[in-house]
Amino acid sequence: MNPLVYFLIFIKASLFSTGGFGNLPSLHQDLIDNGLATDADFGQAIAVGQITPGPNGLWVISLGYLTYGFLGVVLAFTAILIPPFLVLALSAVYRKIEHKPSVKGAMRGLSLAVVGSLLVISSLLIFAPGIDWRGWLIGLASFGLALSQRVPVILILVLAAGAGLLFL
Amino acid sequence: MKEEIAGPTAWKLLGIWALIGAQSFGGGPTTLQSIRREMTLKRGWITEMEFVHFWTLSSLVPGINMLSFAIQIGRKLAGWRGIAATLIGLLLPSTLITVAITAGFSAVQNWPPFQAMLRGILPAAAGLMFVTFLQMTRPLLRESRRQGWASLGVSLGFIGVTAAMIGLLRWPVWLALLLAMLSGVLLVTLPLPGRSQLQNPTALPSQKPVLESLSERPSPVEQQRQDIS
Repeated sequence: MNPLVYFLIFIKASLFSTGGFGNLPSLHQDLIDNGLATDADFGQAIAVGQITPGPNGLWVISLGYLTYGFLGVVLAFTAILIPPFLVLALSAVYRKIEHKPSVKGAMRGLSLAVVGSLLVISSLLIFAPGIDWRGWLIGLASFGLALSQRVPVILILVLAAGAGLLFL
Repeated sequence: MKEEIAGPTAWKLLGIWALIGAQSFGGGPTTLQSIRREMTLKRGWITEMEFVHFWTLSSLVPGINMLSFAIQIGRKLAGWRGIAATLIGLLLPSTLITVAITAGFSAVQNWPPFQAMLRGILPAAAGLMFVTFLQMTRPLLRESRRQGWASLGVSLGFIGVTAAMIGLLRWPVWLALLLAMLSGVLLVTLPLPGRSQLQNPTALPSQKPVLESLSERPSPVEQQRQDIS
């Protein structure tokens, strides 16, 4: 397979999407159509993406490894690395106009909305299929521990994994 | 980069990001909470408001939000070297772990204890995300509160309406964000609150109630205009 075509498929998916999984539909279409990946590859990569530390979007790294080995990892890594740099251009423009009332209003409305979408992510996670009252208790406990700001995040995760091991 | 603040060295930054990247099991929610702990709470390098504004700007560019968010933090703290340190630190350990897990995944995939631990971590991530939500809401609501109770009410309305549009009505996220941005502009620029539905050329019939309800309250508009002038 041609590494350049492979890379272009990945960078196209990343450039025309936002968020960790926004590039999934485009990648699925292009890679499957070209016979470069199977549905099983996608299933496994997404499952691995749920487990790995760091940003959500690293499932693409797993997909690269499954479909093209270490070269796939390098190409997928490069493809997800480039688009976020556009934020530098955006923030340069923003700093020039941020004092304007309309820009302030836009930023405020947008910030409130973006924060509101975090609430949605949180509730999607807690009301996901397969999570019952025991899961809700774990969620509540981690909420309390995190709110206190005294317990390290990694310790909260270890405790949650331990609770899962004991009760789920 | 024009303003180089007296921040950490790139090497120190690399170490901090590497710890964040390697420990944040549970995806975005955990990563975001870890970044907030390290950068805002513990070290005070990024203010509460900067944290929110960086995140908002990162939602407007393509690609993984967490990376464009981290790029802005790295740049503020140490310029281009800071960006390099941030991305290497955040991505190198987590990418290597991702490759290692992919290679060994079929071995642990159906191992019951592994499944059980995962079932514990997912609801914990929800709890962490909710804490981050509250923390990011705080500076925005504090700013509104200074402008009066009505402004606070409108801000809570923005959060609630957006969450309902995305979470309950399943509207695309970009549409909800666009509406919020336009409503934000309307709230500060309209001379008379009642005119909004005529002056917004892009408003579709279904969007009217949202815009109207947000812009028909006169006091926050006046208050915000006073604040700006």
